[in-house]
Amino acid sequence: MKDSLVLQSRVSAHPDSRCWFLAWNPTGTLLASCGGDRKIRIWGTEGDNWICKSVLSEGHQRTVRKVAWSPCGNYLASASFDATTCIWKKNQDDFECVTTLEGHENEVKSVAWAPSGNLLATCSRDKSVWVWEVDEEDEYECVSVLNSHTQDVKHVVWHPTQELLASASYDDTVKLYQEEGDDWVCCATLEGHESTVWSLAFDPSGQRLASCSDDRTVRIWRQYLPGNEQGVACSGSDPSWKCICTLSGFHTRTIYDVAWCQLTGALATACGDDAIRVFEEDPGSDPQQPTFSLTAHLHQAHSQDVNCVAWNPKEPGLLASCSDDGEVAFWEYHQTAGL
Amino acid sequence: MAGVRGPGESRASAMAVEQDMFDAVVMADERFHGEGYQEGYEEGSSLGIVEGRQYGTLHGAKIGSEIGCYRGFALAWKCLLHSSTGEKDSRKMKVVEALIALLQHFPYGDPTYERLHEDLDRIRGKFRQLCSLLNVQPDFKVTAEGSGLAF
Repeated sequence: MKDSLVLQSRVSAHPDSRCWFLAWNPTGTLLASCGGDRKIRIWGTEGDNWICKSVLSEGHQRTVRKVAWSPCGNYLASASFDATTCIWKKNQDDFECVTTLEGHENEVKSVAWAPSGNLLATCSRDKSVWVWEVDEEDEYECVSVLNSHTQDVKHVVWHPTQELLASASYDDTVKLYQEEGDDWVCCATLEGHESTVWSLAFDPSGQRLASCSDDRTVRIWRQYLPGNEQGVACSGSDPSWKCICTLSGFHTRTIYDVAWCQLTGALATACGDDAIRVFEEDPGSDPQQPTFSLTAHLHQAHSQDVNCVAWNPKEPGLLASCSDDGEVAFWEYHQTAGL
Repeated sequence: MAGVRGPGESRASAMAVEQDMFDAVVMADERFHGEGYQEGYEEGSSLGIVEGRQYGTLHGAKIGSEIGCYRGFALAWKCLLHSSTGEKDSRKMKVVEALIALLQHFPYGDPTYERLHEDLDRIRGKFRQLCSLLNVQPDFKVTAEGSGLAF
């Protein structure tokens, strides 16, 4: 492998527990981590080291499964197995829990902010996806409860530019939702994975969506608008999504997370075989049938399952990862020039 | 002459009768198997219809009860919100009316309605959204006694 992934530093983020998820703030200066110890930690650099700048405890009664920064960077949302979602407001190095969103019947698995900053989505083991609207006074109101999935919903993510929401589920499908009139509806269902879909990531343009699954594959889906030149059928005015690429044979266990770098287009995966892999699209490959090559494969990136990988939004090549071993690792990914 | 068989034909037809007799014995097992299966299938079908009807009645009643509860809830809140004029209240009212509309369009009399489950899920979603906006915790138990509903 010409390209490589080099370890920069490792921290014991959630000792004696699992670290479930990581999220970089929009400016790429802070990293939020959350874990089975019910805490959220905020990490920043001091010289060459990553240090813990804040600990957000007392917010949740059970594991914190995901965290997400608002587009403005002033708020952090946390989704927990205690069935609630907390909204924390940042005040310099302090965070204060300003609202707790209730309503899900059991474990909240994911939370995501829309690029506009006005909408928030949550999903749960209760099979539903909730869309919330927030106003200028930090008041949250439930705008829709979507019951399209037939099983536990693992992840929600918003499109980078449109008000389009995607969700991944234990029912092996990915569903897409948009606003129609006064309500939100499921406008597409992506079938193809043979097992639980664990995570999703849009490419920088939002035209493609990557999904990763317990079936050990990553699938790339593309949006086709009505009247497209490729002749892909669409029903009415809704776009259609088609699987244009499947990456199989690379992972030996469940793939828990996939992250698409918004700066370089590189695709990183977090796998249950303790490894981190990076893929890049082959230059000159057909946009309708792209091919990706494995450009980095780091065995034993962690001593247990890797749960999350997150590209820094401002520093190209900086990747953070976390694991069941409770640690967070920082990596530098080098793309060899002239590949 | 009609009715008289030649020696060859006699032998052939005698053999045919013999073969039929053996057939009856040899194939008895299979025949009884087939008859038994047929009887069982018919009995199973009629028992199945009875059981299915019982299940359908129970399941239908549960759904009816659930929807009836949502309808009562929505109509009650429509009255309660009638006099409120705040901005937040107008959203609540919109959702109440959307729920009432969904309930009104639901085809109660047609169990073969192709979008039955889809529509039920939409109704349930609307109800949960309404509870969230009204800050009411639904504590919904449909018991065998019929009316263990509490909010």
